[in-house]
Amino acid sequence: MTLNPADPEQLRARARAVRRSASALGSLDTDGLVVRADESTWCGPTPQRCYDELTALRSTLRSTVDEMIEVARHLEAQADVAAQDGGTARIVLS
Amino acid sequence: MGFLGYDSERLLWLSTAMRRTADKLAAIHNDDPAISASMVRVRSAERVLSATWLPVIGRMLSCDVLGTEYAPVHLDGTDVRTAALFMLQGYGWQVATDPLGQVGDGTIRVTGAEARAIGALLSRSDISELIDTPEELAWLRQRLLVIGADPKLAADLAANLDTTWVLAVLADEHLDAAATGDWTRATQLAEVIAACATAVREHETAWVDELIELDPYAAALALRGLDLHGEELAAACDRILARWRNPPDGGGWPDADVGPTYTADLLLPLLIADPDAATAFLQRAAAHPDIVFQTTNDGVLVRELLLVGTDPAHVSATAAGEIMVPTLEWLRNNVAWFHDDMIGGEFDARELLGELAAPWLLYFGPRVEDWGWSISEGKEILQFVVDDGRALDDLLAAMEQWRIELLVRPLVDADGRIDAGWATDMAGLFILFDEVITKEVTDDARAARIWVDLLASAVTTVGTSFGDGAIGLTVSATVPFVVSQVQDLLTDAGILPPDADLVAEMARAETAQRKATTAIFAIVALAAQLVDSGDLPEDALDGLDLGGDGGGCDARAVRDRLQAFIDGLRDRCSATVYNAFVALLSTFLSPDAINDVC
Repeated sequence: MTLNPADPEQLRARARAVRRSASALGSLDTDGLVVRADESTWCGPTPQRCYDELTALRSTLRSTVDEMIEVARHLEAQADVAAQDGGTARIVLS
Repeated sequence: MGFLGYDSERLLWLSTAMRRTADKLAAIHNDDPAISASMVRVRSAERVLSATWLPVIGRMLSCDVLGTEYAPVHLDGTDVRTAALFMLQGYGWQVATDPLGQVGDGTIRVTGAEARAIGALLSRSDISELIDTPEELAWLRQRLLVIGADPKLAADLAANLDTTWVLAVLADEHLDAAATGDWTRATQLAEVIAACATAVREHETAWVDELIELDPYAAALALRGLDLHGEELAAACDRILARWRNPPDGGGWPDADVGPTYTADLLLPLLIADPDAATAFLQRAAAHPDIVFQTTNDGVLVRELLLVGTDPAHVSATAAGEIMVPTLEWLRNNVAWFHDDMIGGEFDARELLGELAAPWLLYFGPRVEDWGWSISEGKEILQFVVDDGRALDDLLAAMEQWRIELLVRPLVDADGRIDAGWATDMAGLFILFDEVITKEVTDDARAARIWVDLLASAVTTVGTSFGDGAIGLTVSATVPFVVSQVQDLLTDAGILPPDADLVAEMARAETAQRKATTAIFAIVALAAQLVDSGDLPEDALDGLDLGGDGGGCDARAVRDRLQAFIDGLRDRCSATVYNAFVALLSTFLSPDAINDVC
């Protein structure tokens, strides 16, 4: 698909897709994963590294969800502006 | 190669959750360039799960252990570093080798389970086997320090730790190590004991009472981990050492038999490092001074404790008296019974008393009533102190400080009135010391030599203080001559004491000389102070001439010369200043005193 930043409908469609991805990512039970990896399940050097990596992974995925939602908001805002200006305005994503 | 442990059922749950998460991550697709960076992280997360951890867990759960790095093992519980796994193994967990770390990897987080396991294992196993290597001891100490810093972990440890028993056994291990000269192990054990006590201190009720029930040596080692100060530290040390001196069943304690360090050797340094605690401890110990003098063979420690605990810089005269009076009286009655076959017999407690008494000499004489002694009691106790050669040396050295005090402390106030109390104190101090020394010197010729050396030094000090012989001091040849004779005799006789009559004669001569010298000090000091304050002209001291014939008695000659000097000032100073001089001369060298010595 050729991206057209002046096409409000395409921008809204992209925003919806990004929100779906964010929603799928946010629905993962990373808390449960970390809890299941703690010392009540296993302990030792390998288990601790696993626990530490899962804890870091949880944090990464949470921030990734936030980033995706922010991208979706920008796309939606850009679509609104494009609709008002007849496709001449543009919002540059940071 | 370290070890890991796992609960198979729970690990299966983890694997399932991990598989489910990885699948969900794999199902997320979005090729929008605006979230390309986010999707890179999603893919990375998926790989962490599916390519790294799921295979590891899979190998464990499939029991495909041959050829893998996660081989099953069975721990025997002889290494404290595997305490947690050993306990979990008992609960049905699987244990396997772990390629990612070493046994006792200090970077691994301490868990509540591990804290509980350490407490349980130490309490039920043969401790010497658990900690028979430096690595195990170092690991245990590090773990205990981490546990001690976390109240929850500390509570977990305390819940399973039989503290009293464990500390006592560790203390025995420490003694064994010390007895065999393995100081590295002894030091490590001491650190472990302290760390253990620190870790559980908040979770033991009436901790000090609990400590008292320990073997005193264990209690002392543990006390070092409790960070007690002041009165609290003093009370604990007092109780531990009192118990050490009086075993409940009449037997002995392990350290008393094994040595070479004793309970007191562990406690006294704590007190020395805390002056308030040292004082409080000595006040308590005054009720049973044997815990100071008969619990260690280390005289240096006892000396430091006494000096720190009675240091005038931070101890009032009243507090010092509460320590000194009963302690000195106890020593006077008991020191003869110290033997080298008992603890405390390897140092002579009397040698410590000179330094101890020196700063408080006023309370043996002029201020004796402040300490509840009679004048004769104060003198008798001081006599007991100087009966030891080393103590006498120390006291003689201290007199130099008192002479400096006499020189520098104002004897008159801003109005020129003499500080009668201070002058009387100083005069009384020198008179008392003179009497005690005189008695001692008749029994100890060596002391006579020391005194004369000091006397010569003192006279030199006065002469140089006022420069160029302005005072015109002349020292009688009598004393040096007599002493020279005695010294010759001593040399001829080797270590044999000189003739008693000769020494007595010398002592009488010295008495007169000492009184005269002290009076000179007082008058010159007062004059110098008044010159400095402008109450006397700068050339006032030029009129002081101490040369000439004293009619056979130095003291009388000195008094006459000093009186003449004062009379010469009568028209050059105020009546108040003149009266101050008269009073001071009378205080230090009264006509009665002259009659006594001349």
